[in-house]
Amino acid sequence: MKTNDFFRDCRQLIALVQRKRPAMLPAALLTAVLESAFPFVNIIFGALVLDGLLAGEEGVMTLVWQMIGLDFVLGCSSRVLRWLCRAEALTADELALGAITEKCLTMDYQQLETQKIMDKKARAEEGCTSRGSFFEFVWGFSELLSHGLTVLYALITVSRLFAVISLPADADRWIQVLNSPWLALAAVVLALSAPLACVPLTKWANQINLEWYTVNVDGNRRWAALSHIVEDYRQGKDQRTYGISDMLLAKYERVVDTFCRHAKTFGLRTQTVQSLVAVANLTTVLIAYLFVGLKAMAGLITVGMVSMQVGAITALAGAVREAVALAGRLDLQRKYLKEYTDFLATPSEKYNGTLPVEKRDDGDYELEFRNVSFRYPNQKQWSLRHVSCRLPKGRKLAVAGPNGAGKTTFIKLLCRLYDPTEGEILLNGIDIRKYDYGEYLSLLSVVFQDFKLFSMKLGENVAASVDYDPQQVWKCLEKAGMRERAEKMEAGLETGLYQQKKDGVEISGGEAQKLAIARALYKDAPIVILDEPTAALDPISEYEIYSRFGQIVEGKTSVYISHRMSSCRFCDLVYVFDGGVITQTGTHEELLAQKEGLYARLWQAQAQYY
Amino acid sequence: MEQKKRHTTASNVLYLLRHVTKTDRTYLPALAAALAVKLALPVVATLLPTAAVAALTRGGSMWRYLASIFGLMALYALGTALSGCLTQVMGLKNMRFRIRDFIPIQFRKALTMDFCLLESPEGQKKAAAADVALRRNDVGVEGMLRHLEPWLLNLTGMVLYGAAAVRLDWRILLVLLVMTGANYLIAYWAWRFNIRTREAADTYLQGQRYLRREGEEPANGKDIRLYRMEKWFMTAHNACVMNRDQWRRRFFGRRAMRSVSDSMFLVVRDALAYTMLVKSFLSGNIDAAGFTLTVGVISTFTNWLNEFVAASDDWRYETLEVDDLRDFLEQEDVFNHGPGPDISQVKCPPQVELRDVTFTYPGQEKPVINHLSLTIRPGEKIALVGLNGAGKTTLVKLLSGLYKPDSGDILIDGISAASFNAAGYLRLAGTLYQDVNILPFTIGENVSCREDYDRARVWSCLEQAGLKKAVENMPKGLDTSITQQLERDGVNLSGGQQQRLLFARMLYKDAPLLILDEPTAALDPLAEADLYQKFARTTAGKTSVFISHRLNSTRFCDRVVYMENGCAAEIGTHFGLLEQGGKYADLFQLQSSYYHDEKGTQYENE
Repeated sequence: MKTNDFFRDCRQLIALVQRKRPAMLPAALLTAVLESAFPFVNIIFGALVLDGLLAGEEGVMTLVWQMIGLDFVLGCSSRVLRWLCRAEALTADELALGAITEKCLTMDYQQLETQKIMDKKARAEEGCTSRGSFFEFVWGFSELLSHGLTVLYALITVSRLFAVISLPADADRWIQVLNSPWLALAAVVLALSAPLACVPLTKWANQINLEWYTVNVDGNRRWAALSHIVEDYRQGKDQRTYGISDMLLAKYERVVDTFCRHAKTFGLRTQTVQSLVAVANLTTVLIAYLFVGLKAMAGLITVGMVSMQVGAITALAGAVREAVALAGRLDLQRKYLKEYTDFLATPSEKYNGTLPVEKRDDGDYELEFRNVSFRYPNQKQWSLRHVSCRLPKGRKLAVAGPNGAGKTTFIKLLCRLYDPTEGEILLNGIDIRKYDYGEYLSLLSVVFQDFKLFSMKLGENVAASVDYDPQQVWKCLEKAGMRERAEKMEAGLETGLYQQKKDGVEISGGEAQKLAIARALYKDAPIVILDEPTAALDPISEYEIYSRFGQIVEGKTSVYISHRMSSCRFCDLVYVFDGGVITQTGTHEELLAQKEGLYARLWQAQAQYY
Repeated sequence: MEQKKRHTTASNVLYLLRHVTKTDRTYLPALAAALAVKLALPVVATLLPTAAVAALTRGGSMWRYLASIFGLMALYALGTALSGCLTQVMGLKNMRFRIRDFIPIQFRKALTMDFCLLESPEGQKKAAAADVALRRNDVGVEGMLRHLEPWLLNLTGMVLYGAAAVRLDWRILLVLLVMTGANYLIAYWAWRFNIRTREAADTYLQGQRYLRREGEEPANGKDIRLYRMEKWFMTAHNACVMNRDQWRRRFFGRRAMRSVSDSMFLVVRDALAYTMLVKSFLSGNIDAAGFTLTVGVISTFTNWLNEFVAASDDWRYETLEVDDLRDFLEQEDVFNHGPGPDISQVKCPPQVELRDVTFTYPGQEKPVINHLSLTIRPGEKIALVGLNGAGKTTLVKLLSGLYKPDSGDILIDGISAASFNAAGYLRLAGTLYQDVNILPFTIGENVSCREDYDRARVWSCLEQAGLKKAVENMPKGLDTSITQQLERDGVNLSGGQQQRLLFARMLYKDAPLLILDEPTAALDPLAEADLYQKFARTTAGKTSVFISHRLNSTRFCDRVVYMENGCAAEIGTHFGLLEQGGKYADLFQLQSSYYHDEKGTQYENE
């Protein structure tokens, strides 16, 4: 790994957490300070007490009280702090996931639909959930601090081993050897060598883990998609009528079998390495016991010191080992979390201009398509070809044509959800790409064919915002023909829609369509686009919308798309699309007069049965 | 609301064990091995310093010291390696059980239980709760199994060491037991708080999940951008997070009290233990090794106790989740899932008779279907029309066998629909539902709903549905996946194509009773007219019901049923009803008027 990258990324990630939960890092570090001191209370005082007893000292109980007091203070405060850290961390993780959503809400629509971005998003999600979280990451740093302090305390304790006792000249030769500080140094180095020797092993284990993560990415996506199908009860009707359960379960089981196979292979492989490491690390304890024990046997240190020094050496080696493993883990987690920050940093691919849209009270905005052609990404076929047309101010336009003729694509380009492959779209003579996108969108009220409402409050749905003007909302509901129904709801505009909210109401497809129209009205934009707004409506509601249409789009430029040809009658101008090209233009009467034209055929197909 | 059935923790653990031992024969032996190793390991760990101090203070030889250290270390190393491997093995077993054995049980239930139960708000709540128990490895089913080992381990350790501790000083044991009791009570207090507030806390979590899912869904992207909804979504999401944060602080505060209480009791424990030990040592009752051993035993025993309480506490939460899961799995179906009359004796086309059928959605007062009687003759084509909310879609659900009338009966060739086996009855109706649900699988799988299917038949159904050409142009033909959710090279279908695909699926099923709910909503006029033709052809020799707001569709049907407030307000032929001049006639005039000029004559290509 490149050390610079590591530090830069870590700084960034920690700053990110600091912004979300400022209390988390300080709390974690304080916990580390307290927790690292905790074991040494028993290591040091335990030895002192034992030695005091063996020496028959009077003051032993004083030591005992000190030990108990310290134990209480350190133990109690660090454990309470840990809970605080956990609370902070879980909230931080929830906020972190929310940031993924925020990115999805604001990124280019065109990007949102691509597989590449969806994969990137899946990796970002996994990187900050099942593969470690921000909590674990920040906690890792506090652990690092804790290990550092442990090393410090342990070294101070172990330094006693280096003390040279003045021996009588006739002392045994092996006692003299044991008394040498060099031997002490050799023993400590030897004790530390085991964990350090295991570093490559630990790295290997991490490597296996990373590989495991990579082979599962695809399976995880499949798993999520299949689970989603089962969980979506609305699909339950088809699932039963067409007996889909067996196929679905077979697919699920295959995905899970692969997953389990990987878990077995990789899990056991990692475990073997980890067991090796654990056993190798025990040599530290062995060396400590051998050296310290012999020294005690030679009378160079007290018996109490044996447990203290063994404890200290073990703690030292343990801290070194953990610190090395931790550094590896942090580096790994940094890589996973990098997927997260990378996703959030995905740059916008489309040009976003800065021109403000001129505010005009007269709504004098005119849009024009100039020789526009469009092809969806990765598609060979043109969806729109050489389309040129104007949307004259204040006129009612209808767009007709068979399925797949490019009508909806036309709208998508108009909304700049996609940019033309060739040609340009102009607003008052200026390419719409040059305008600030947010400002440009404020000109458009659109009811898409597959419009969406959300399981939040009714009023919020109409205003598309937490704050709304109730009077305005009621007015729009009235215009859309939904007021009466809304008045019947118990909580009025506060009523939740659908069942995600408790006491939410179910609304029918027709009612939903009226709400979507109310939402478009609330936005009060100068250009109104309605894509199949009456598809789910019964004839009476359809009639209501038709008769209100004039009022709805009063003085505004409007585009009306419908397969119900009847709607073309009250529009000023009809554009007929076929195969991505505008084949006919004119008023309803004019077009009907062109008897061989597509428009007349479409009309006739529907009218013949009335 | 019915009272949810609660099981004891023991009952839930046994319930899971019964399942797990059925599919995994080595589960119990592996568990026993893990327990044995993990029980022995701390014993060795306590003996190690004791042996060292003993060898040093009791004047043993150097060789004895070395022998005991080497011997114990070797044991410890073996134990460590074994314990690691067994932990991994148990982890894999527990995971496999959850995802491979238990989730399919949940899925199968969700996919085959009576739809009316699943769709009800109550059923939805149950399904969501059951999902929680299986969603993650540290809660519910897997959590409970994972905690079986520490629970047993700490229980055994507690008993073994408790016996040793009582020999030392009964007061220490008493302090520890009181500590455990207090610990348990505080844990219970926190648990009660959780139970009391869980529903609200879950709402915040579900709220987050909902907003994240909807906010990230590409299909919602257009509306979100056009109406600048990002602020709305994020404000709502962060409010959920913050509400949950506040709840969590209160909950964790209660749990943290356990640490405080523990620390206080440990002061008493240590004060007692050390006073006693120091006194015994000074009076010569124990030596240094004995002192070390006793300190070790007391601290290990405390550890067992604490861990035991912790494992029991975890179970207390998990058992609620497992209860939710069992509650979901053990829901009693309302349809007959046992044997019934032979479905194959139903003639094709069958006669369908609704006899005084009434149906009310649970929790609602007004019946959606209100004493409806109607006989559909074998092979007859019925057009079902009416305003939104008249009960048409509910009638579809009743006829398709998804819902059961509250009173009255549906008779198929004179046999009560309710008497058939539910799964068998589902084969009777091929229904094209109003909401379009396409699976992210291949075209062939979507049409046949099988993985191994009759390719020729799928092609012929696609041809009849008018989708053959489009599929032939796709890179992998029938094996082309729809959407990129599962396969990278998947394709997206237009609204009209989706409608045709579902039509092909209905054809493939070849059921004797066909029900089409608004199949032309997304179709252009040419395709609409084309579908009417196709409909007329496919329904030959079948009994069929056709629902549409486009009243021109009624021309293809033998009789029109105009529904209002859950009743058949008018029944008759199209022309008969027009002549009658009732509500159907009004509705038809309203819609057809757009296609006529002011004088009332139809626009024609003169």
